[in-house]
Amino acid sequence: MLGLFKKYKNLKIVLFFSLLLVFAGLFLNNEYYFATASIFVINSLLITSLMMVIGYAGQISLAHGAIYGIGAYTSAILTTKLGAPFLLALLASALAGFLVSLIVGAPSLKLRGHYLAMATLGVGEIIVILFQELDFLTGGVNGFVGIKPAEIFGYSFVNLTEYYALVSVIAVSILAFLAIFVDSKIGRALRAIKSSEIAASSLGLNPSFYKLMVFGLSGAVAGSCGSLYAHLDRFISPSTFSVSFSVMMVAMVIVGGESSFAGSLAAALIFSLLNEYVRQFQELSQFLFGLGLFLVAIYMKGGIGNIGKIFPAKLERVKRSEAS
Amino acid sequence: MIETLIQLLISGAVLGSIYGLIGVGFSVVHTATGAINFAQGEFAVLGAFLAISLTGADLPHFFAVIISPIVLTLFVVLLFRIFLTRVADDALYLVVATIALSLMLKTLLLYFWGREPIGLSSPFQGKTLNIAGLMLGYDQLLIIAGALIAYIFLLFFFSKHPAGKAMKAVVEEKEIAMASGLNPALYQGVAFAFGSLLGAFAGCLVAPVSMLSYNSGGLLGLKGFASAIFAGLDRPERAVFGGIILGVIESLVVLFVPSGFKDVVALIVLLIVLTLKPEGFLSGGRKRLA
Amino acid sequence: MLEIKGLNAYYGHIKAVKDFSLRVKKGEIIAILGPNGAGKTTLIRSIGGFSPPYTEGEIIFNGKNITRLKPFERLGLGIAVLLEGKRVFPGLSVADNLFIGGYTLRRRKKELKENIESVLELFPVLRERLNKRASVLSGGEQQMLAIARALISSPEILCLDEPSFGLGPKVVEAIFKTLDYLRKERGLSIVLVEQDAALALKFSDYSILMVSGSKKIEGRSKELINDKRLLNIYLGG
Ligand SMILES: Nc1ncnc2c1ncn2[C@@H]1O[C@H](COP(=O)(O)OP(=O)(O)OP(=O)(O)O)[C@@H](O)[C@H]1O
Ligand SMILES: [Mg+2]
Repeated sequence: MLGLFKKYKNLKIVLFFSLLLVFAGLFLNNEYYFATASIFVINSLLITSLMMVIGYAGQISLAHGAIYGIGAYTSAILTTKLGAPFLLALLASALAGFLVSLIVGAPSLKLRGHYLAMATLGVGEIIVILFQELDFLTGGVNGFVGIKPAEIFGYSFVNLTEYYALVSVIAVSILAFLAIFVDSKIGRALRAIKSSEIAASSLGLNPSFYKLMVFGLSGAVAGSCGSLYAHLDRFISPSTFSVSFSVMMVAMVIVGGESSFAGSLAAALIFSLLNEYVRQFQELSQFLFGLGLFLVAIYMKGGIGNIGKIFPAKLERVKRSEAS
Repeated sequence: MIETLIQLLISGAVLGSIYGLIGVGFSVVHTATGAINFAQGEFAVLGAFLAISLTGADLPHFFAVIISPIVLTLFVVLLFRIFLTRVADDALYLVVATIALSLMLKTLLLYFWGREPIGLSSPFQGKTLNIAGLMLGYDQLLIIAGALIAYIFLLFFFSKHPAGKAMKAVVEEKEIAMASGLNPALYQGVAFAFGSLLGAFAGCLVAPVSMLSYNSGGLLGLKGFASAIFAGLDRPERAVFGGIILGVIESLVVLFVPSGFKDVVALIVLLIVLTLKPEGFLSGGRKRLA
Repeated sequence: MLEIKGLNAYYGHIKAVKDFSLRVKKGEIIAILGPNGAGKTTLIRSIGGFSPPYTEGEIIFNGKNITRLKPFERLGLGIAVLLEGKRVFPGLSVADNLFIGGYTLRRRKKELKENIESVLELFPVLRERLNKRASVLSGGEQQMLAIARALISSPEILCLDEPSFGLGPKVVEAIFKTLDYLRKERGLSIVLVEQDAALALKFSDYSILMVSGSKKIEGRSKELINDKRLLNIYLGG
């Protein structure tokens, strides 16, 4: 057991996270707070899944919010319009997220850096426009109303406390899987590719395959998040999945440290607390994360999650500027 | 029928001129720094909103439309001097910084100007020119004129003006340029400021014709970028034509698909260019600058 | 005029130039010799202010400490540098290349024009190709253009990193003759990095042989021509 934690060091963080969720569950006493807490859990998972793309595949995606939306709409349509069971819809959302994410990731085989960012931004925007315009399916700009509550083997999770428990169990399981994944053989291959694509491909690793795999995996997780979200508020609308939210998530990942589980989870927590604290102007958190991202980009190239590395990086900068 | 078609072509060219102006801003910045300014669309909206507020404070229309881009440019110059110049040599971090900037600007736009779309009321509202039965609003004429002036100016700037040549030199061989006494950061800053000036100006021109909201910047920016990349990021002045082509395609497509999908068309053009020919279609065989 | 005191230059942990000192007088030609990887390029880049990541020591020019100045500030003071390999702005015309070389003089139109005239007299081939793009010039023409461009700002000292690289003997001779002329007529000082030791010794006043970052041998070029040690180092010492 302990060996497991040693081998997969991110499991410790996931364990800590699940304890936090348990404590929150014991401590909170109001349905409203359970809704907020559920959103926090969903966001944590969502941001961690984007962190995989940025931190482990070394790619950027500004369509993550859209993929989250794909999951949400898939689940809403399947359960409410077609009467599919929740668990099936959850799986279908994951599958839809997986497939669409492959499409989003496809340009990464050819494009790099900011070109890729623009391409994914374009795909994300297209998907959101489709949410708005295909109103016979999605309800259009007014949103999808009256989504069925999640139901497992006849038990309906209408009570938000119970739904919080369900969301937490699912999210923690997925997080644990991701934590094991990044320190598995595949995870190590990814790191090798990220540090040098040429060297890795000379070792027989196929960078395209691994990159797409991470996009797919991350999309599947984001799709599941969408499904969990759809059955929480039981109302979804295109604006939730806008490109701004995607940009915001990238900011959260980078501020948290681009390949840090703890950083992503912490960013999600700060985001939730901020939104809770200033309810009149929720966009404040958008501003603050924007500011955080700005400062990180300019002063510490590596994110707050890499706080230990900041100091030497600074020294090097001083040296360089002295020399030039 | 023919008349509707021509009318559509004209309105496409008008919209396209806006995309083109915004796109030129992308190319100029990319030419000098190798980066893409993700806040370009927000600069356009901010320019428009500033002008709206200025006219709201009873300043004359023309004054507002000129002052607003200038104020914004000064702001960008400061921003560049204080912060961005530290990452000006590192395209990726510069890009991330502009992504951050777009997030912050969007919040500020929402905070100060609210959620509802607003427009700029120009003195030409409703005034149209009737050329052989075709109606062309003065405001639309101004847009096309603005784009053409930008085109001619840039053509002149990069081929004749010393600063334009210097900017090209910095992009081609940064170290030799430094050895020739040029300070790259200066030209990168100038490019950045100039790009935002064009963006803000485009915003001021489009605001009388179509209402903007705090989050219009995303789509405007994407379409501007599509124009720029269609033309080839290394040829700033040609982005104007990239934009006009894009605008025309967009307005003709309305004949075939529901108008709600119009925006998708520009984005699909963007994706096609990015995947098939990222060096652009109008870039004409010249060696790429960046 | 130019004085380097105890220069150390690092790439990370690699010390590419070690405790290097040098004095260049007006009108003097100094040749820097040495095998590949000796640190010659690093030395030239340090004089020009181009980052090898980190340097220690002082560089004084006409009594002014320029150690912390940026390359474009150094040019203004009269230090022109031709970096290794890079020569011209390929996409700009020959005329524009020259114009950029004189960019710091762009407000003094008359002076700029005279300077351009005088370098075109030194390199008449360039005059015939003024409107051609630099990338279509031959290697020798490009090198002449590079030197011409560096001369337009009328520097007091010109540092050249392997100007003869890849050029035929005729062109090399022409270039060196021009440099010699400039030194005699205008008192231009030159620091020259050159692989062809015989040529460099013949042409320079003073020579320094660098080996792995340090001075190994130095002395008046006339005396070094017959120094056996030089030969040994070049041929496997
Ligand atoms: N960018 C760099 N990063 C790390 N080390 C470098 C770098 N440039 C040069 N070096 C190292 O510094 C040392 C000196 O290199 P330098 O280019 O100055 O030699 P050189 O004398 O000009 O050689 P050559 O005759 O081949 O041009 C070499 O050991 C080289 O490997
Ligand atoms: Mg060398």
